[in-house]
Amino acid sequence: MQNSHPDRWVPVGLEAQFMPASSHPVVVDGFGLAVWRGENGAIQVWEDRCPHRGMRLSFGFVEGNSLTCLYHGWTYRQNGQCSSIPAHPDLDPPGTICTKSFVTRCHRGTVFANLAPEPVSGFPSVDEAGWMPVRSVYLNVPEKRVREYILAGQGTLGPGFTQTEFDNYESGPDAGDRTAIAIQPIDDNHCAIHVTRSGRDTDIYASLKLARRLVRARREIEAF
Amino acid sequence: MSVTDDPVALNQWIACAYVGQVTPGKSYDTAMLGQAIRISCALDGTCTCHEIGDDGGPGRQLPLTQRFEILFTTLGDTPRQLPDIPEFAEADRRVANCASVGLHASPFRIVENFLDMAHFCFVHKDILGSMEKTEVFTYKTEHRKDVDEIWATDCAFFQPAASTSAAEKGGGQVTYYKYRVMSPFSVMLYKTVYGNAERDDAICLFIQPKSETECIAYMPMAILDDQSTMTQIIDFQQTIFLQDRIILENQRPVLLPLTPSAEIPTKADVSSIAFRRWLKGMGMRFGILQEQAA
Repeated sequence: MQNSHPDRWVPVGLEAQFMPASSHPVVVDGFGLAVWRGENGAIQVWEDRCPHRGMRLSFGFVEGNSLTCLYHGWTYRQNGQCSSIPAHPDLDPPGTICTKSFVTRCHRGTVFANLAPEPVSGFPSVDEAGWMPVRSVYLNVPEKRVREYILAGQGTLGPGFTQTEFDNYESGPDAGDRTAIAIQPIDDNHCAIHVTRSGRDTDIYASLKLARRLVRARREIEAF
Repeated sequence: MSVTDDPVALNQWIACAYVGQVTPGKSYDTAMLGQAIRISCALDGTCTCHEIGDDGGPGRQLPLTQRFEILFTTLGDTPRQLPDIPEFAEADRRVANCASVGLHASPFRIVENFLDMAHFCFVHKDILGSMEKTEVFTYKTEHRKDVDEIWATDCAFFQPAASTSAAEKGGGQVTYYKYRVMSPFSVMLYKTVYGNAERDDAICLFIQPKSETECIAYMPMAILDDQSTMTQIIDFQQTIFLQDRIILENQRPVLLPLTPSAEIPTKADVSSIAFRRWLKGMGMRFGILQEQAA
């Protein structure tokens, strides 16, 4: 399969959603990814297929800091290298057996990946502490429609959102309570938004209130 | 959905129902190779098969033949002969068609999974394999040119509960297998009978590819087991197949790649390698991933 992904950072989910020792399916631009987290907390974003017989690695299980494929138990380290093939217990797997992995960063509570073959586009060098997960919302519209809605500033979310240097959206700091929205393109007619917030008000109800507004916003965006 | 133009796929006998599936006086609509078909059963039990035309009415009549408790039909004029499986005629064997299982998967990935011993410990844990003994020992694979079949022989695997009868007695055993790919859409195995060194159970898999990515699998068997009830035998077979289904529906790409570099096999996969080489040699296009030109 040819890799023709554009050089840009796309969100794959909220950091808090990926529990240590778990693996998840995520789709970006129609391309299947396995997002998994070792017990040490490190997050990997890989193509969602085992190089052996194509089984989706999002069905795999994590033990320690390795991911094991559900089909034949091939085990992969966090660097993508295969470390064990149970059908041949005495074999030291050659270096050529490795998964297709993508560069991954966290920013303001959201996990981003760049799927381009040679990613060079910029990413904020410092991750700020204190951002809280709000929720992810999945929408039956193309990514573009969400951008138009946010920039129009008319609906439930209101005005004040600006586009950041890596295609994320944030509300201005003068609101006292900042909100970040990252848009994940799923395919031509589906996308997801991953929302986090920071501010003095760390009460869970402030997050729940915002989560309810996001659900209202979904209806507005789908009718936009 | 449109019917394939691949002559290799068209000239095969394809399983389309198990015996007893269509009630006398009724008909059953299904599909093969992208062609909608209807199997009609007369009140005397005689079945016939037709293509279903674009208008929903009956089109061309297709030949129908019954073997191994399964009904087969073909869209081709010169189909490859159905295999000879003498075990189904042995009077002391239990013959069961075990009904069928539908899968959103490639027919060839289903064949490869049937040939595969390395997944026993993971997909059929504590039944056909144990996490303590995961090794797949070297076995032989050959293309038997006289019958144009792929065989894998000298296969041995430790199994905690290899069959219904073995499961009841407990303790596990080394099971010996022979695999036989009889056509692009059918495969069978011979495996050790619990407590009988002389004869093997015969377990078949006939695949009806409704389209390139949607199949119905039939699992008729002729086995030596005078203990288990038919319900137990069928339950066992269905359990195993449903465990395989979660794998088969989640392999990517869905279509089978034949380029050797597309997937990484090991020594345990030599039967799968031989199967892919055989498909390539016969020029199969249906259900095969078409490589993009570089």
